Amino acid sequence: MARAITIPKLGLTMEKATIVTWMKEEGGRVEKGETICIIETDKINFEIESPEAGILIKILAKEGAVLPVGEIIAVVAKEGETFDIDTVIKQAKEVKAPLEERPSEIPIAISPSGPREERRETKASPLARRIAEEKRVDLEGIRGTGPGRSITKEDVLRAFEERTAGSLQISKKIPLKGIRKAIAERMILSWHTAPRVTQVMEVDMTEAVRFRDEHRSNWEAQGVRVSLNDILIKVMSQALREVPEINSSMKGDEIEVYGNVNIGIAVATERGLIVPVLQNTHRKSLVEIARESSVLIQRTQDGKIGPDDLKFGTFTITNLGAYGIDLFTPIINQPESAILGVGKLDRKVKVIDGDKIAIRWVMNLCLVFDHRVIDGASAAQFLSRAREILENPNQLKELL
Amino acid sequence: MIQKEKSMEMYEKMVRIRLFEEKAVELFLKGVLPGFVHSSIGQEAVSVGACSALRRDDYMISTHRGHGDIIAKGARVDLMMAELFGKRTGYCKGKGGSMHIADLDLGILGATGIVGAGIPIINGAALACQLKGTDQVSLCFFGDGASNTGSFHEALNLAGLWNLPVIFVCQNNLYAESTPQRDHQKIQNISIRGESYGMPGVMTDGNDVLVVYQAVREAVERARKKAGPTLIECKTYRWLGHYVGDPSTSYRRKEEVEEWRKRDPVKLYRENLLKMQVCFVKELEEIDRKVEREIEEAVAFAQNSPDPRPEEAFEDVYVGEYIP
Amino acid sequence: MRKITYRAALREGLREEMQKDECVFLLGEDIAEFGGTYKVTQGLLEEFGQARVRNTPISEAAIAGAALGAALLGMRPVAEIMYIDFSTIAMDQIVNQIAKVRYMFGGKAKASLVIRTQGGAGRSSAAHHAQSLEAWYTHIPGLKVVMPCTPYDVKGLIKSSIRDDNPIIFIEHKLLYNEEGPVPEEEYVIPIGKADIKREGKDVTIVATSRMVMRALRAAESLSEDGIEAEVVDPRTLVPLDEETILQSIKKTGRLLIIHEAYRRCGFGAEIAALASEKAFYDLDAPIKRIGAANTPVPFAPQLENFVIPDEREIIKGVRELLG
Repeated sequence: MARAITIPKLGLTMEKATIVTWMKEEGGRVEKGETICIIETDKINFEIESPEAGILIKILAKEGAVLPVGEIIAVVAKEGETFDIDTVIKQAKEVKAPLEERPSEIPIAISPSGPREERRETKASPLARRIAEEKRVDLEGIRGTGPGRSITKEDVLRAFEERTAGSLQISKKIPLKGIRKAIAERMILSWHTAPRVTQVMEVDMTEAVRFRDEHRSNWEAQGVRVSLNDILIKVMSQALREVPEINSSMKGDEIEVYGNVNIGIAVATERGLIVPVLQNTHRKSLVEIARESSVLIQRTQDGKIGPDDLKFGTFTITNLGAYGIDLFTPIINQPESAILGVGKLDRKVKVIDGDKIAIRWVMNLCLVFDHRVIDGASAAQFLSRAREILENPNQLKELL
Repeated sequence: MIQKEKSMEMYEKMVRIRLFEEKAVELFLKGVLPGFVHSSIGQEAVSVGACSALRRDDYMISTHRGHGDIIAKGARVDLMMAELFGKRTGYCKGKGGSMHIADLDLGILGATGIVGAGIPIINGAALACQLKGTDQVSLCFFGDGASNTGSFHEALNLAGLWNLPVIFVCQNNLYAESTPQRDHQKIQNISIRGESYGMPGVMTDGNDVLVVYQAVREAVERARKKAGPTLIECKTYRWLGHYVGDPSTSYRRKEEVEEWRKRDPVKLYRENLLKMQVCFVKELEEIDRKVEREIEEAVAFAQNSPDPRPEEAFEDVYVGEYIP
Repeated sequence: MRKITYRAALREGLREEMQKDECVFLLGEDIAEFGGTYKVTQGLLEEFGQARVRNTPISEAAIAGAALGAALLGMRPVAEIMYIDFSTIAMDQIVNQIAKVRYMFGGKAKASLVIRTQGGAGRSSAAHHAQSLEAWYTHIPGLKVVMPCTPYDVKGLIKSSIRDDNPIIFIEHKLLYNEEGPVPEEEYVIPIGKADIKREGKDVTIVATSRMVMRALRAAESLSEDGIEAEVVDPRTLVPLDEETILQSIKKTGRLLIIHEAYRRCGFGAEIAALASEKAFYDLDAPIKRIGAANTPVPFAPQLENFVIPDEREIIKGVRELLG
């Protein structure tokens, strides 16, 4: 059957592509899977393959042309097949653009402004509204059985019954879908997959704080604010390179150890916890990390990230210090093998230099790790290394 | 031969009508009376002549131009004046106004704003008397314009058929609002319509009070004797327009008005009384002054009377509770 | 209890009141020897004589006016207007005179009369003999409007209507005269302004008038088989309306369907719907539904007539719509 070749949708935000090269000529034979054309989108080159063996009957776009997603650029047909080109084109236009390939790790469907409920004005009878008000029942989510599917008194009473079984007064029902559902599924998966062990290490952050304060104006001059989190990212990246088994993933019956470090930063948003990933942090300077992380976090909060931003994480850092949490055991971000929970930075009394009492900046690093992949010793080693860097001004300097 | 007392009474009534109407016109033109006023100046002889032939317990129904008829039947000018002012002390508590004055004790079954509407109603009054077996009679005033309404024809037919004790008095002032008689009916004498309905039709000079009186008295006799209804036409003229404020110059020639004003019914009667030596001028002047004072007092009474309270708007819609 | 026809019950009511009070008399077209077009007054001439059971010419205005005139003098006439379609000819007397005399005359007069008439379709009597025009009369302050639909109701209400001092438009239905129903032997009177719940139910309130009450009851039976219990409320009097009963019913059921035989547009159902919206808004669990005849003159051919006049199926469909 004659098939139309169209510009594919290669990413959620992709809108158009440029035809770089036609690898075949019009009228030429093609095999199934053979590359017919190379297109470019967002600095990525993509090879369009023939869906079947036959003849490249018609080329409809020239090299250099910029075309929108879904536009037909060629037709491939079997040898000797007759067809009506207009019909083919029409059929192709009716077919929706292929869904972008979902990264298997992140089963979240993220749209630019979050999951959208269909906006519908709640139709309810005056009596129903009065009763809903009296009984403090939220009309939202009640199924209407009245004329025009309006909510009736009976519907409200039924909802009230359901919602007030026993002594629970449900004030709201949030449907489990979108991000919430995805989070729930991931948490369960993680919980059941990895045997988790937690190690907590208290780190004296006084030097790290000093380091940050000393270089603040410098960084500001470069137009950047470096947070403690950014420092942590840099430090962890370093530590992960040195203790690479932390930077790994259990895949079936083998463990993949990764050479690059992609740190996921847990960001709390209105829609739920989202973990965008800073790629290749091991190669980036502190300033670069700071710059990129701030952009990434902002975009996450604005709801402007795409699936590409969530991919390829190898380690996740989650910081609840701002909420006053001293210590906690986060859930590993599958399929990673470990996650670092960062506690509150606080002033505490400590014994230093043997027996001196001093007031120091102190913070807990909580490493939760998958004991199938990581042993206690490696974990401890990792944490020690991180602490070492953080407590040593000379090593901190090397981060710059 | 009419007794002197009656003659004086008739004269007094005519003067009363004349002075009341003149006062009403004056007040209306000053802007103190709400609504409309339909003046009957010039038609006094018909009102007085006819009503003088009735007993107090006989019934009468009138029209929008009814002040004269009502005064002739004995109504009080102070209560009338208060009603024109729309005061609570008026005949109808201010609820009816100029066109709807009634005094059931005097047998005045009211006046109506719908041309011809009183004619079917008078039949009912007459019917009630007939059923009760009394010798009371009922008299209906109406104009030449009303003689063309369906109500007129239905009612006269019924009255003739049932032999009702009614006197139908047509005040033919030659104009139905602004339309001269020749432009609203083919016939010239409305009285001939009586025959169509099986009753005598009498034509009279409506500006001679004695002529009118005579004709109505005969009809009243007939009715009391159960000989049935009569249609009496009184040719007369209204001096003013259809309503006060209507100059009537667009539809009546000045000469015509002048001609009729020369035949002023009040003046004519006055002259007649003196000529026949029924009384002295002095007596007449006394009556004039007496009535003048009456009217003055009526106006004062009306002006000093309270207005109706807003709640009164809801009273008397029904016998019993107001239905919101 | 004995069962008699609507016609017989009505006649009994008339007779009883005529026996009780000499002031009650009947007038109308063909009501004497002929006994009335629908034989309601049959036998009354023989019992009460020509004076009190009077045939009239075809003169609706004269009939209504005569009734008024007699009422002003204290009589209690019951005037018959053969078909409510003919009441148009008496409109002025009914709307401008009868309804308003008491008010205009400041409470002095009372129009203690009943105008009996009938309406309704179902016999291919066509456009001029099949209307339901009660809405016109409910609109006029000063009138009361009564529409009974059972033998029990019609007898009790004609008696109270005759005794009422106010003018009453008493509207019967031509297809109800032969309907039988229980009527006690003992004397009884039904107060004006009291509705009757003809059938109790909890799922929907059906307010129906005249013959449509019967249809509503049959529809209710049918709905009951599906477990839907309709409450049928018969107002019996439209003015004054028993608001309380209707509102209480809506409070109970939460749904209102109004059905009348009058044209849907501006039929009395609109008034009831407005009332429910004003005073029972927060009790309504569904929009208010009004069913009336199609906004067309009543056609002649039986199929067409049946089509435009509402029936049980429409009521059932309407109720189901309300239940969602």
